[in-house]
Amino acid sequence: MGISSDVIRGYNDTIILCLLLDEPSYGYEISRKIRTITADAYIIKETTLYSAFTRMEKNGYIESYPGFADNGKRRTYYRITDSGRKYYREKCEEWKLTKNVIEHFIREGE
Amino acid sequence: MNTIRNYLESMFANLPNTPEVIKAKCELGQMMEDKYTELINEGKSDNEAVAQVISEFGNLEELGDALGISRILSEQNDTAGKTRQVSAEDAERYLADSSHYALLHGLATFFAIICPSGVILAGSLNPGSRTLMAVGGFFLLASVAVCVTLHVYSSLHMGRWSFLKDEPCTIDYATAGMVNDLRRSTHDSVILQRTIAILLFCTCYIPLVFLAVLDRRAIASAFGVVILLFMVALAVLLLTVSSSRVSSCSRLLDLSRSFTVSGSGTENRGRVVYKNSAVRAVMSVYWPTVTCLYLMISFLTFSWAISWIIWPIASVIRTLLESIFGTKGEQ
Repeated sequence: MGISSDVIRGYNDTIILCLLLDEPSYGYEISRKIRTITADAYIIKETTLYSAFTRMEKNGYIESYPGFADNGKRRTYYRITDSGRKYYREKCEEWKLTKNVIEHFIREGE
Repeated sequence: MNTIRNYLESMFANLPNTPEVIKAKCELGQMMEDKYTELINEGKSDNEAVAQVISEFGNLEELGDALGISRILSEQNDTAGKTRQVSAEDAERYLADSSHYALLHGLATFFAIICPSGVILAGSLNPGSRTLMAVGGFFLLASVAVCVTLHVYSSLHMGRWSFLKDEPCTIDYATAGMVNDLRRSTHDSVILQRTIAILLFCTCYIPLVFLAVLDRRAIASAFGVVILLFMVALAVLLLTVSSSRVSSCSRLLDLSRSFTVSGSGTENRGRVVYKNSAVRAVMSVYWPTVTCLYLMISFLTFSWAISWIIWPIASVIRTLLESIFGTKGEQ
């Protein structure tokens, strides 16, 4: 069974911010990490990723800066800002709450 | 990788040419390229890699808010039913049809120009002979009939392409590229045809002059006039055929509008636009009028040796009119 993109949509930002917590990164690397960490269960679409980048940059959660790939090609990198870290913490709290609420209604073995 | 690039180009082809859109296209292209490279390194075949990259691209509607083009995207969905997509096959068929029927149009004009030659020859050979006159007259009527038939036939057949003019149509990026290549590849033959046509125009009076000088009989001059008519007719035929290829390619390329991303891929032809509608109407028949004037003056005065001066003068006048009344650039 595939993952429902409707449910995960509200947490795309959280996923991306989490991956940026330790070090700056660029588009494809983030999408590859999401894929390997979830063991191919969630594959983020390029357009979803790009619209998340622009939205979060507009809100001031991340910053973009030009960098260079190993082969010398230009590439846009993203790093998390302080308000991005704050937003990430809020989202984590929100998820815990949500998870607790939903958990009450999940019955195994039905 | 080319398939991916073409896919991306055609996704963005009808979006407005703004910095946000261009940035998004570059960024997405980069992500796709990174992904493709890695899939290839993992040992996937080219086809598999391309299929995976394209299937995981997502859809443009998600970018609507990011690019400030939600309005345009929803408008596009509204007009999607109305705007007709001209496929590559249609474009090829249109180009084939228009060169085919341009040849028929050219032949029609050819017959219209040579139609009096029978009467001219008959009149000078033996002015009293009714039989010869009848043959000449028959040739005239037959030529006119052929001319009208060809005109009507080709116009009726080209009528099925009138939607290119009347309805909003678009072509995708790959088709525009194909048409552009085609236009470039025919460039040399177009130049050759036009040069031959101009050469014919310039030299058409020479046989007449020679024949008239060498032989004082009326039949010699009449023969010279007939040769002249044939040369002019051939020149007009060549001009018709060569200009049809250029104009049909341009018509197709104009369908990808210049303010969209795919429009910027085609070269800007720097077309002159006239704001005043009266000026626009006059300018649209400028060259046909000059041609008529040239032929009329030349045939009436038979001063072919000097009448060519009309062309450079006309072209100077046109440039002047363009700089006074016209504004350069599209829109």
